[in-house]
Amino acid sequence: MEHLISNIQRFSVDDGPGIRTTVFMMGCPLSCIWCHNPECITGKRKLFNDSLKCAHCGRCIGTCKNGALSVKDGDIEVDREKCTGCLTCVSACPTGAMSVTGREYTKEELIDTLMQDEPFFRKSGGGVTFSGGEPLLHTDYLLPVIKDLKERGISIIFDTCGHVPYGRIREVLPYTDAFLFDIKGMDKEKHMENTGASNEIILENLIKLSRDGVRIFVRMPVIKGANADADEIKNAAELIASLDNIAEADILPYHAYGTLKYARYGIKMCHRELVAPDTEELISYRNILEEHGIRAVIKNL
Amino acid sequence: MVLSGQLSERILALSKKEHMSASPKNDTLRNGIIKRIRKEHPGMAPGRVLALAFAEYLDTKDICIFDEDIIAGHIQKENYSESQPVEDVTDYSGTSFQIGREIDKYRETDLYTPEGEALLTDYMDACGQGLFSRWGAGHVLPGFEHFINTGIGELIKRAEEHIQPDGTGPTADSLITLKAASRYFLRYAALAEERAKSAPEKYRDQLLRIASACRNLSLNRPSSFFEAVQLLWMTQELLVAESLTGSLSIGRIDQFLYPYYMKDMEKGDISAEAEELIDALFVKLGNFREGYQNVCLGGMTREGKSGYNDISYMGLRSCRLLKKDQPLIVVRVNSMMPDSFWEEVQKLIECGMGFPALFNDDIVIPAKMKMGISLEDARNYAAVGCVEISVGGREFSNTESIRVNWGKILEALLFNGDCPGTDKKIKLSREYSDVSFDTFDELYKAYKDELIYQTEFGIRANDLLDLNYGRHWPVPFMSAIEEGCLEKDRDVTMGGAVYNNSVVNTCAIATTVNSLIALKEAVYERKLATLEQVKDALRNDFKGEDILRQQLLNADKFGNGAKITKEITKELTDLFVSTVTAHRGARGGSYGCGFYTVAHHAGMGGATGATPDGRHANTSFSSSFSPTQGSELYGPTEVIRTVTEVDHTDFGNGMVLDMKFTPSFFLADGHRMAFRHMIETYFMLGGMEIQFNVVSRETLIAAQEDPESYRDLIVRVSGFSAYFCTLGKLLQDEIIKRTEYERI
Repeated sequence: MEHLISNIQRFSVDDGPGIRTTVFMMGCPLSCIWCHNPECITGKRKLFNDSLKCAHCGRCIGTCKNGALSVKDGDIEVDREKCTGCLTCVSACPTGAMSVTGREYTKEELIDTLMQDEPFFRKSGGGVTFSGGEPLLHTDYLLPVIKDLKERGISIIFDTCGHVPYGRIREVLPYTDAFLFDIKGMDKEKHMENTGASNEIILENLIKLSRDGVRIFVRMPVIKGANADADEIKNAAELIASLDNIAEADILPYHAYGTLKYARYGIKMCHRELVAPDTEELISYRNILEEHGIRAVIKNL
Repeated sequence: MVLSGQLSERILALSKKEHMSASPKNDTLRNGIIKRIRKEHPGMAPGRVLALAFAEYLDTKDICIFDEDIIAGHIQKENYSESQPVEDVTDYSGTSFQIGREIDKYRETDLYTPEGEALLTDYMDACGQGLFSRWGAGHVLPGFEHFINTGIGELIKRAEEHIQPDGTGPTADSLITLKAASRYFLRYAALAEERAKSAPEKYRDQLLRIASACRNLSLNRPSSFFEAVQLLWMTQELLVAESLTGSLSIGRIDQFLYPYYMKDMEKGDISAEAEELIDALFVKLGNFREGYQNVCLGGMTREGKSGYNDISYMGLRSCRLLKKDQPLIVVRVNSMMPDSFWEEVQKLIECGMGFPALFNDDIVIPAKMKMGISLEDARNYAAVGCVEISVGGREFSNTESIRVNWGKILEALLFNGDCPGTDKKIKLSREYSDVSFDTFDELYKAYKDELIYQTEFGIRANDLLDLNYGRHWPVPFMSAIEEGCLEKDRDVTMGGAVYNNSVVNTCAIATTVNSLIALKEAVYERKLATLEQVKDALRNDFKGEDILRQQLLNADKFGNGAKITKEITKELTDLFVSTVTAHRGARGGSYGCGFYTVAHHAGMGGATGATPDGRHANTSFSSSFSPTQGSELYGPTEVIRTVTEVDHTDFGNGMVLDMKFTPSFFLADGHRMAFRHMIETYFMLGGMEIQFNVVSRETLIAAQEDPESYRDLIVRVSGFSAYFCTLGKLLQDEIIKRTEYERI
């Protein structure tokens, strides 16, 4: 499989301790209805159509052999059914309004980019976080990278959905300082409905990982209209409380920053209305976790 | 120490007395006196005229004390057109500098040559086109510390010792002003005593205390912390009575007030009283609202010991609670800074007023030493006006005298001296009509040649104007309190100070780098358009050329990490620095460089046509040493890496890096910590200065639409902070466009 990177985000201050650079790998075994990086689900390059940069010259329409492009309400519309991803429109576009997300980096290129902020990592206790998508789908590509970074003394964090064979987690363990590990729900069926997969492997992996000695930050996205539920939090709290090496449980209220991307990438959004739980509700979730003796943080409150 | 979280009722009452004029008589009094003395004594030396006028003005102007006053003194509106080459207005916030008058006076001097006149006339024209700006005087850190530690009586004695036998000359003029200042204190003493008779009981003691302080200060050094603060403020009032075009900055109040504070503390805890006195001082500075009065806090002592003391904390607290746009606050950062002090600094940053600007001692001190300043004096630096680093009472470098517009030079080069949209011309080093710039290297070399040529031209004119200036508009009182002037019998504008430096500032750095890169990519590498096509598009401000403009905008930009962009930035900066610092100034000192823009990025941008980076005609340039507004792709860490590619110890007159954060960024403790670590890394990488706007874009837009509701909204502009609603639309738009970091 191709090891595509959608974005390398510097000055990340919410993906683990300190100032970090976060690498977003494309491709994910889950397809959560609230996903805020929907371009990273399929693992394929995505055409990004930015109407703000469009000069309305129409050159892209002329070059598309599949008739996937047309003008609608003055803006270019991409028919994603017809689009084969040949990207001739990207080369034709003079303004960069049509661009492609997803590029391959050689190991050297990637390390060079990640090392740009080394002084900031050192000062702040930060480092590199691999996220996505699901970074552990790319262990063959990432292993040499993290070995090299580790030798340079750079802190490594994996932000994982947990839905991977445990062998992949074990592969990166010796070079990883911490995991950001998602619990997206305790109820099997709801989990299936919300993410397209069962949570059995995920929870098993979490239990296994907690015995392997690496610090874990449990991340719990909570979305009203999908998974926000006091009983679910309570069940999760019971599980977390029984585990070792849990540094913290983070409650991540839903945010709508990703919604614009759905339009620009032509990805269908969930038909349900998704919103963040109100502050009171978030605090009640935190209280449940704290009652179980877990250090809990509400992010972006 | 524990800081009080509130302002006293008395301070709140005083804080409301903004813009109160004690007497309209004062508005025109000063100019009238100067005119009359000149008429009565034709041929009298300008220094003597101004000294006599200063004395008569102090003796006869109305003065006022409020019942609630904690310290006495009230600055009046004045008209400066007779003592400086500025417009004839009382509203000095709108004062504009008049080179034309400088040239008129030049014709009367011993300096006159026809070549000199031609040089100055060309220079005035170039200023008119926005290629240069000229501000001939007034950006200084006067000798507050020297005055407080010496006292009027001792200065009078020294003046008398060094006066010429015939009673003429600068020291004799200074003596007149010192004696007048002494009498002025006695006038305040008498008024305070009189006022005490009728004032409500609760105010009486303080008025009598003021009276006794003013009597003592008319002769002696301050005998207490209270008297030191009183003298500090009264010194500002005296300086403003003499001159004000630009900035009269205060400097390191925490350092020069601290010995008085500590001496009083030996007798008992005066910290609460001291806190209110600092409030009272800041209220006076804040209510005056003019003069870019910069106060510097923290840093180190002349001996290299920690300079963070109780007064430093009090200054931060006063600024945060009073919420006034003056005094401007600068904080010096070094490894001795206590964490508790940083907490106060960050609290103030998060208030969103744009204060304080942070300076890195590890870089500023070597930068000042490169300008010939001793280690001990360099450790004692503070900021003039916006961010010009200088040594109070010892260095006179007139920090805003000239600014070179890099963007205008590129425009002039591309159009062979024409300024599109006008019929004006810029004189270039040679004729370019026969040059087709077939390669980027050819164009780039020509740009470098012109940058050197125009900078040299500006320096020649600046030197001649500086030589001329003190012959007509000396400042005998400011000279009296500057170290060295009385002994040398020389005015501070004529080289009387210990360090008599000069400076050249810059404008449109990122805009220029981006323009060169855009031409390189679009014309020479990708061949998307010919140079002529780009020039046509610039002439028409990209009308009908949306695609070309977008292509130019898509080229790499300053702050985004491309190697070539960093190289060009460094090469042009180094070239400019070496050109400037090769010169000695007219007052005999070194030349230093400033990479900050005050508000000139808007003004000079307003006078320059469209640029090849995709910038529209007559809109703002990039600000200071910051990226073009909104062009950063990779966030603050990459900007910092770009900016620190250049050696900041070359910026002897200061520099600015602006960043904008939203208030919500600071809600999480982890973010606050990351913010501090980001700044510390910037300083570790060699950054000199950084400053922040912490206001959301939505708030700024709302304020632009509804100024009435946002009168107290203070933003950082370049070197200074100001009430947002008082700024022009161009500047407001520029601030809104600056990239905003929130959660990423």
